[in-house]
This record gives sequence, structure tokens and C-alpha cells, in this order.
Amino acid sequence: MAANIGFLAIVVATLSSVWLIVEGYGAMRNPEPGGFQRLRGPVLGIVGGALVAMGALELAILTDDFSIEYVANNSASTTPFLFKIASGWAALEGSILLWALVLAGFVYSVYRQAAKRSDADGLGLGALFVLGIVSLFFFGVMLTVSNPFRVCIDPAVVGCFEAANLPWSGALAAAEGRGPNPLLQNHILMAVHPPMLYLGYVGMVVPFAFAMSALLRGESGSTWLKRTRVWTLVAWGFLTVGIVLGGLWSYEVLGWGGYWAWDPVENASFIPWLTATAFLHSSVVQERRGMLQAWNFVLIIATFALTILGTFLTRSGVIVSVHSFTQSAIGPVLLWFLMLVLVASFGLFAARIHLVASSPRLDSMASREGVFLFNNLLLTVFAVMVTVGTLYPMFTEAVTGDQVGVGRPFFDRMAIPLSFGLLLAMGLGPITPYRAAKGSVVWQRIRMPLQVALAATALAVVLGYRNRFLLIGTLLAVFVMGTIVRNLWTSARKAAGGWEISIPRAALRVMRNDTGYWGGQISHFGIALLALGIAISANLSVEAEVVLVPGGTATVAGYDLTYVEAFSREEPHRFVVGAEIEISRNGRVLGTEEPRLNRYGTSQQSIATPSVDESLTGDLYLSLKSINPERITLGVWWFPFIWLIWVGGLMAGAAVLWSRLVRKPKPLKERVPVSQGADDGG
Amino acid sequence: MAGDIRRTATWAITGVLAIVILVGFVQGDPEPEDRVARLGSAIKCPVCQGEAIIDSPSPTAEAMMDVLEEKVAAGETDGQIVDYFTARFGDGIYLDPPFAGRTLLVWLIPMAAVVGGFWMILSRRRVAVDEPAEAEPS
Amino acid sequence: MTETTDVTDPADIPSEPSSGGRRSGVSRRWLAIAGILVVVGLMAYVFNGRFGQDPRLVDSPLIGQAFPEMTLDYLEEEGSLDFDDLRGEILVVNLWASWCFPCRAEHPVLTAASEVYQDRGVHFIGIVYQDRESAAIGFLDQFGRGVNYSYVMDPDSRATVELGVFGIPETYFVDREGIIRGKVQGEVSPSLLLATIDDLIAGREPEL
Repeated sequence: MAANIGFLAIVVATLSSVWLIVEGYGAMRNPEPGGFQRLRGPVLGIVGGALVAMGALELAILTDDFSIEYVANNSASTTPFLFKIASGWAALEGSILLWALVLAGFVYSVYRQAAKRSDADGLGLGALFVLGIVSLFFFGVMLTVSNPFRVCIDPAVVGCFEAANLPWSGALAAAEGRGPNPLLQNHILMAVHPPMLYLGYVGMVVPFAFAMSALLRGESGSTWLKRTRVWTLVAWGFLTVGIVLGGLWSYEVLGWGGYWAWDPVENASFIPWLTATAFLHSSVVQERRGMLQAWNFVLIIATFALTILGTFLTRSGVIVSVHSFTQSAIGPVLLWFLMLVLVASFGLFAARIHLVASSPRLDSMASREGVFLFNNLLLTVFAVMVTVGTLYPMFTEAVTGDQVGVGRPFFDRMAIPLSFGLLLAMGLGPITPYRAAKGSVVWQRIRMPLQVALAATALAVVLGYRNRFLLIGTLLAVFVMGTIVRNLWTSARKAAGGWEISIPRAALRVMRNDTGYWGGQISHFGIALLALGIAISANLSVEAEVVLVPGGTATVAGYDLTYVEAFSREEPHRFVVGAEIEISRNGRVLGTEEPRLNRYGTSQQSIATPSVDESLTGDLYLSLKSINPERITLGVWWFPFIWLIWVGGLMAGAAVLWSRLVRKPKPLKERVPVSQGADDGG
Repeated sequence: MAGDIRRTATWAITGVLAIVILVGFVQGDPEPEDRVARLGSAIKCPVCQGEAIIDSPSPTAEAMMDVLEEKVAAGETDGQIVDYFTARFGDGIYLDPPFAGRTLLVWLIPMAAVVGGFWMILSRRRVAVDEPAEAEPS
Repeated sequence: MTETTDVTDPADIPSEPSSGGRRSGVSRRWLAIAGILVVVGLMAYVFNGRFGQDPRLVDSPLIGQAFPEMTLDYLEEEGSLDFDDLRGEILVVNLWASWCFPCRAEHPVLTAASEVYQDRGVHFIGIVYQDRESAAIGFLDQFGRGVNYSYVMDPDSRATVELGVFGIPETYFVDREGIIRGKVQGEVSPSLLLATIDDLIAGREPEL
């Protein structure tokens, strides 16, 4: 039943996409006020189809309908409720459905925005036309090579061997489902991280669609940028939060004491983040100064193409990693689509290059836009570096047949100097005036932050830290935070004098007056915290492997760990063994931790669940490596101040909320003060 | 007068801080290098393929870490240790591409991107200023 | 940085010179098109070979090398197996586990082959890969044992490292001199298994 409804819903959405393409094209060619009315039907068809399809899949999972292959192979009757919900997108077909659902949501929001306008909105109509093409691809894929509603025709005792694409092919239900991949049902973040990431990933389609529409219509100018600023920011925020949550998931679940491994799939989400970040900044330059028009087209096309590349890398099985799904027919299809996107969009760009080519020149490198250029250069090089590093092994294997490895040592060595450069730009950019900056003005604004940063770093040296990456990282991160705080402080002090209100209130008003600029500054502050967290935790962490007998004690990083006893318990969907570890410091008992090994369903391999004792100064991270009644082997890590990474990363992403949600305050009676940061902010 | 003294004092303090940092920086990390950690993060876990052996909880990776620790303790050179693993798992197992041979490009392409980017920025300087640049527009 | 570059007046990255943009616009257009075609062609070339790869006899640096010296405890009996003692016999060394689904599928192929070659100087060895002893014995009880087939354990995964195992099932073919002649990654097919053993018996180089 659910299979029929779901499949039918996808058929409806696919046909609606075709309808949207046809109507959208016509409406774009002859835009007239109210032209979007013609698109109401197809847009609702897409949104309705996607919603019903996702609903049908979730319903099938929740009701244990093992006649659907996806349910039989990715869920089990014993799977807990939340992980059943998450199963809806944890495997290949479901994740494509989630892609399509999020896409449908963005189609609807674009339609809503266009519908509010009273003019003949050719740009918006054209964007919907482009969105129709993208959604036709994703719904079409679900009808053919990645159908979540394939029905099982050859059930196994557990799971399903063979399935048919059409739901009325006479389904046979399996007795029990295989359950989700153990790694993916070990932590609740698995339910949150993919939707977040997809909201960010897929959201980049909106600025892309408007850019294509602008090119199709031969509109240069910045209208498409201004119209899509909301989506770009929101998508960027979700992408940021999604990546950070992915790191947190990896840290909490995988038990290897890390959060980022430069895994190809992590890279696949990080590369579009880099280009999207570059785009956010360079679009400001275009809006403020009219520069970089062609470059912005290149960046947004690249960002969208990179999200497709990422989907391809993750979903096609061309690379093997924790996240990749097994080889499937979707690989070649995604590759073709990616090449189509590249050829069509860059081809269109090349055909219209004369329209966007001329733009004002840079007056001086020592200016806000100069620093923006520097930032764009670094972010682009960063993206090129990660892309090349990720694809290079596949490249050499295809060309020479040789296998080469490119991994963390390469990425670290390249990423560290690039990140330092980006931090420097982050410190200087927001306080440098546009056009041409006087050295004295910039110096006055950075002197105090620089002194604070020097003091913090000197303190680290005095405390005995000599690690060079730590010292440079601290210097730059504190410098960035210092410039932001000083900027706010001076603006607020000036404003407080003008308005005759207290400085904290004035600061809040200053920040609310230019939410775009200050949202960006909050984000920068978050990134600086994150950088500080990485510098500290990566360079000062302590790692040890200890073997303990019951009652035995080991000391790591000043903590005494006592192995009290082993325990085991049978849960409906898994078997858990673990060790009770008592933690004390200087004779004072701080608590007990229970690192565990879980075994899920029929799988024989154990998945470690580390236990993390979090505190303000750092995390004591325990991961069980092996356990038997006589002794345990325990991996112990001490990560100082690692929470800075999560807090900073989430702050950077959530700062988007400040830009979008906070309203301008009502003007006060007093004279309007000139706030220094906000006046030339963007 | 008081302002002058304050300014001089500030500068003196700043200078001292800078010197302290410089000294610390030049001294470098006194702790001996952790070869196991460095090599462990440069050898790929063959059964995971996304992670290095130091990061992976899989038994294979643990066994490889044990081998690595023994070899470091026995005083083998980096080259010998890497050779041991590549002789069994192939060159793809070593995640630190040398700046030579068939992995030269992976280093050169990003570097070329830096140079090319700077060239693009600098080669297109404004020849004639058509409007006077203001120090601080508002 | 901003202090030192005051004198230069560089322009933005991708834009045209404001005068004479027409000609350079055309060349730029072709540059863009050429660039994108190169990228797309390269991608098609690199990725196309990666779909549906079905590795059977694979390239491994161990081929042509001596089988590593090791001694492994038997799974179901006392004592241990020293690979040196098997010199002079052709060895089929298979790594398996009870939790591995392809191993289940290839198991009857291996046991059948061990019966076919029992009198022809071919010795089969099954190394248990990261599995519990009881589960491995249960697997054999359920699916049967081969003839002239030794089942041994590798509790600390050292043999796995020595043999450069990427993921089970994996099967190695060793000639009478103790030299590794072939490696199969994934499930062995009956034809491939028999052909490779026949090659070794005849003293031929197995075909990759």
C-alpha cells in the first residue's frame, strides 16, 4: 500500500517537474505580472509529491512493512523509534528522497517569494524553470535507478535479496528487516546531521537557479545576488552547522578520538562550503562596489556543481568510506548529470560573458575589497587543494594504474597555512575601509587587538607551550576576536554618548542596526573560537592506551581511572558490553564513565561507543578497545578545550539567524551616531 | 607628558611580549617527536579506507599500530617502516604523498593556483584612476 | 599585507579590462569553454573505469614474494600450523569469518575444490579473520568442512597485516616453492579457483 502511494507520489512529482519546465520556460520568455500563477499547479505537484513520498516511506518504516526492499534492508522491527525515522534517509534511496524533498521546499519558497511581487518577474520565473530541470532529474532518478519503493520479490529470512522496480509487481514481505547500518544507529546526531547538511547542500540550488536565469535572460547586474541573499545565507548556515554536527557525530560515535579525518565524504561536504563561503564574501563586493560580477557566476556554478560532485562521490560507490553506500546504478547517472550541469551552465556563462565582463577595477589592495580578494583567493585555493587531494588517487589509478595515497598529512600541511592566511584576512578585512585604506586608520584599529593577541600568546609561551602551530593559531584567533570586540566597543561607546544610553544597550543597538555586518562578525567570532579550539586540542591533547584488570588503576593526564567492573545487557536491537570506570583526580572521585561495545542484530562486529566526560577545561574521552572478564584495553584521550570547536562552529552557522531574524530597532530621538564598523559594513 | 609616558610604556610592554613570543617560537617544541603518531596518521587503514590506522578502531588497524610501535621501538627508519607496509598493501596505503614522481602534481596544482591567483590579481592593475579614491567613504 | 601593497593598483580577479573588452572577451569565452571541456572529459575518463568494478585476481605487491613465515594456532585442535612445514605443497589460503556474507557464499566452492584436489598436493588453509572462536566453529558445523583443509586462527590479526588483507574474503595462491602467485579479493568463482590451481599444478603463471 505504502509502496503504491509513494511511487505514485514520485510519478506525480516527476510529471509536475516536466510541467514546471514547460510552463516556466514560457513564462520566462514572456514575463507578465502574475505570470507565476501558471506555475502554481506544478509547484504544488512537486511539493505535494515529495511530501507524500517521504511520508509514505516513513510510514512504511514505522509499520515495519518489509515488503518494501528499502525497509527490509535498512530497518528492523526492533529498531528504536527515532532511528526508524532516521532510517528514512540513512541509506541511498532514502537520502535521494530527502534531497528531493528539501529541493521541493526550496522550489516552494522561491515560488512564494516570486508570487508576492507585482511586477513581471522574469528572473524569478526563469529561476523556477531552472529549478524544474533540477527536480526533474532527482524525481526521475527515483523512478528508475534509485527507487525507494522497490518491492521485495525474493525475501530472505532477514532482509530482501531481490526487488522489482514497480510496486504492483507482487510483493513478498520479509519476516524481519536487517536494521540500519550499526554505525548509523549508534547516536541520535545521525537523525539531525543529514537533514541539516542537505538543507545547506541543496539550498545552494537557489542562487544557482537565479544566476542561470539571469544569464538566460541576459541580465547582468546584481539583482540575482540581492534576491537570493536570504537563501545563500540560510543554506550556508545549515551547511556549516551540518558539517560541525558531522564532526561531533564522528567524535561521539566512532571512538577514534577525532572529529575530522579528511575522509573523501567529509571533503565532499567541505569543498562546496569553501566555495560558498567565498561566494558570500565576493557577492558583498559585487553588491557594494560592482566588482567581481563574472567571478560570482563562476563561484555559484562551481558551488552547485560541487554539491552534485559530493552527492556523486558519496552515493556512487566510487570511493569506499564510512559514508559511502554500496555500488549502485545511480553512479553513472549522477556523473552524467554533473557533466551536464558543468557543460550547460559554464557554456551559458561563456556565451553571455560579454554581458557580465566589465566591472569597476580595484583602487587599492589595501582596502576592504582588496582583503576580500585575498580571502577569495585563499578559499578558492583551499577548495582546489581539497578537491585535487580527494580525487588524485582515483586520477592516477585511471591514468597509470598505480595506487597512490593522499591523506591527512597532505591535507594538514596544506590546510594549516591557508587557514592562518584566512584568519589574518578575517582580522583585517572587516575593519579596513572600502576603496583605499589609510595605513594610519587601519593601524589605529588593529593596535589594541594586536597587543591583546601578543599578550595571550606570550602567556602561552610563559606557561611553557612551544608548539609553533599553537602559538600562531592563538595569536591569529585572539587577534580576530580582538578586532571584533574592539570594533563593537568603540562603536557602542560612541553610540552610547549620542543616545545617552548605557554601553551594553548601545552595543545591542549597534548590532541590530546593521544585522548583515554584525551577523558576519558573530560568524567570524565563531570561526575564531573554532580555530582556537582546533589549535589547542590538536596540539595539546594527550593520548594513551591502558590495559586494566578489575580494581586496577591507571593515570592519564592527571586523572586516575579505576576499572570497577564489566557489565553486559541485552537490548531489543543490540547487545551491549561495557566497563564501569571510576574517574578521580587527586583522590577526589569525579564520577563513573561507561565506555561500551555494542553489537547490533545479526552483525558480529562490535561498534565502540566512547564515553566522554566533558568539562570546561576539556574532555576526558574513553573508548573501549577490547574487553574480557580479566582485563580491558582502554583508549584514553584528554582533549583540552575541545568544546570551543563545537561552540564556535555552531555559532558561526547560527550567526545567520542574527542577519535574518533580528529587526532594526526603532530610532531613538537623539542624533544618529556614526558607528565605525557598521558604516562601511556589508 | 603623562600620555607620552603611557605610550612609551605600552610600546615597551608590546615589545617585550613580542620578544617573549619570538624566543618561544625559535626554541620550538622541546618534546621529542612522536614518530608513532606521525606515521600512524600517514598510513591508511586498509579495511576502512577513509581513515588512518591511528584513527581507526578496527582490529586490523590496531594490529598495524602494534607492528608500527614495535618497529619504531626497534629503531627502524621511517623509510623501512613505510616500505614494510607498502610491500604488503601497495603504495596506496601511504597517505603522505612525496613531493616527487607521480604525486608531484598533487602538491603543484594548489601551489600553481596560488601563483595563478596572485598573478590574476596583480597583473590587472588599474592603469588610469578615473575617480579619485577617498580614504574613507561613508 | 595591506600596508605593503599600497602602491599597486591591481584589479579584481576575473574581470575584463574596461576598454577593449570585446576581443579579449572572445578569447576568454573560448578559454572558458576549453577549460570546462577538459574538466568534464577528465572526469568522464577517471570515473568511468570505476563503475561496476568486479575485482577477481588482483594486483598485489605480494605476488612473486615468498609467503610470510608464520605459525598459527588451529581452530579446533591443539597445536599450531607452521607454514614452512607445507613447503612443496600448493597452498590455497583463504581468509574468512562467520559474519561475512560473501564467505558464506564461497564456502561450498572452497570445500568442494578441496575434495577435488585432495590427492594432488593441494592444501587448503582457512584463516579465521577477526571472529569469535565459537562463532567460527558454529559456521563450520553448519556449512561443513573441506578435506585436507586446515582451519587456523589469527587472534591478534598479525597474519592479516603480513598478508596485506584489505577485506575478506580474500584468497591467496602459493606455489610449491612457497611463492605467492595470485590473490583474489572478494568471492572466488569456481572457474577462477579451479583454473588458478590447475595453472599452479602445471607450473604455469596464473593469468591475471
